[in-house]
Amino acid sequence: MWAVALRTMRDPEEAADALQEAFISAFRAAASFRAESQVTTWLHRIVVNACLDRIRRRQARPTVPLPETGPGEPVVDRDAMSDRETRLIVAEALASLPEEQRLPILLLDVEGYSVAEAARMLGIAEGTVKSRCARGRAKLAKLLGHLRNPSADANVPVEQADAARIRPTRRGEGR
Amino acid sequence: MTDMQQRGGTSGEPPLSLDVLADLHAGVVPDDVAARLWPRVRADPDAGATLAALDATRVDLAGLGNVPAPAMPAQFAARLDAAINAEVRARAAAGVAPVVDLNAARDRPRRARANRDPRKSRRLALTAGLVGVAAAVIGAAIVVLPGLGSNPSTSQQNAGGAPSSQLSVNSGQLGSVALAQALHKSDYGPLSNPPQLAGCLKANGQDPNQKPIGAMQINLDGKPGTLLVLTTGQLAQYRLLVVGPTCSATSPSTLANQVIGGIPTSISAPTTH
Repeated sequence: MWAVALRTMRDPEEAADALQEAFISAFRAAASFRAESQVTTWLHRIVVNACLDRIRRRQARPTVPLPETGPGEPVVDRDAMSDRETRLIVAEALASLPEEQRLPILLLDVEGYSVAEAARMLGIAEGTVKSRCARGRAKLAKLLGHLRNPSADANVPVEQADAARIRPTRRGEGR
Repeated sequence: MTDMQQRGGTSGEPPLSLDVLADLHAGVVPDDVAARLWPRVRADPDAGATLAALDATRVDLAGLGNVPAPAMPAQFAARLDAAINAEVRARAAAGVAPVVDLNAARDRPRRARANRDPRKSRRLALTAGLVGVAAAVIGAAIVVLPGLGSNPSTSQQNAGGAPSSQLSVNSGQLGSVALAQALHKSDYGPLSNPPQLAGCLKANGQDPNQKPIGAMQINLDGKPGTLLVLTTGQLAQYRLLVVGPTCSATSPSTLANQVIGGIPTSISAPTTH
């Protein structure tokens, strides 16, 4: 659970606070536990929710936003990396995303929640979860060096035309 | 630079942007639009490569979820320990979901449990189970149950991840202190030889092929031994087996053998225990 809190909050101090809140609320909510679910699954959700609550409270305060990673960011040379290095770089790349993209991706792709579950936990529409994931994954694909020619794909002028063609039918928002 | 004309295929349409492909990949695009886009994707090798890149990105992200838990820094573990302790004591003082020594709860006759008010029993059971799970999943914070006692210095020592010499514990402490210390450790000491370990497990009535989820050297009531944490097949329930250095297929050399944690039968699946 420490690992879950740490990757959700990013800051150890904040992760420790969230974990503490999670366990206290787990104690208080013990009666709501349903025997059909695993205790660890139940606890995992409580920890993630405690983290998300803290992030929401933090966002309610004026803060300096994290800089968005620009298209000129160097991409990763994946050939010479060990698994451990890869994970570190993936974690750093994920951490570089704006929170509105990082959290849906964390819930779906790292923690394994469904789109519907993530939407409920984040309090946003399912379409919004998907589109924010799409934006974030596109950035990560560039940062992690998966795209063969990231500069050609990034910020291409046709993007606006394509987006304009799709936007009227796109549910939620993602920018 | 990618050849834009070539990427657009033969229809003369512009190439699909990364954003559009990411939307398609994430299921954002409505079905009717997606149906129009897929033929273009299939005709465009670069678009296919972009979708593969997005797949690879998801694989990378999934890998983050499998990273072994890092050690929780000592100061946070101590703080969490204190907070949970305070909550447990406050609840005990208020008479809400009294927290009991897990071992004492386990030793209580089953008939007495069955006669207890089911709601109260369920709360009690889960609180006890939760304490067990908390200790297990944090692996650093030592949950102290009233009356059981623990040594704060062991919490600090474990949380910092420092290599432990032989930890001295008494039988009463084994359940709470040793579990939090031993999980994920692989210090088999005299049982480092796999055949000897298998023989020792068998001599103690355990599955010789199972791999303990924790092993460490301890000093139990003044006797050196190896603490083996074994799963029981029951949720959040562990068997703590402590054996002496001579444990083998022909000598169980049992110093302790107890089951801790778990969600009692009142709220868990049927059990054969």
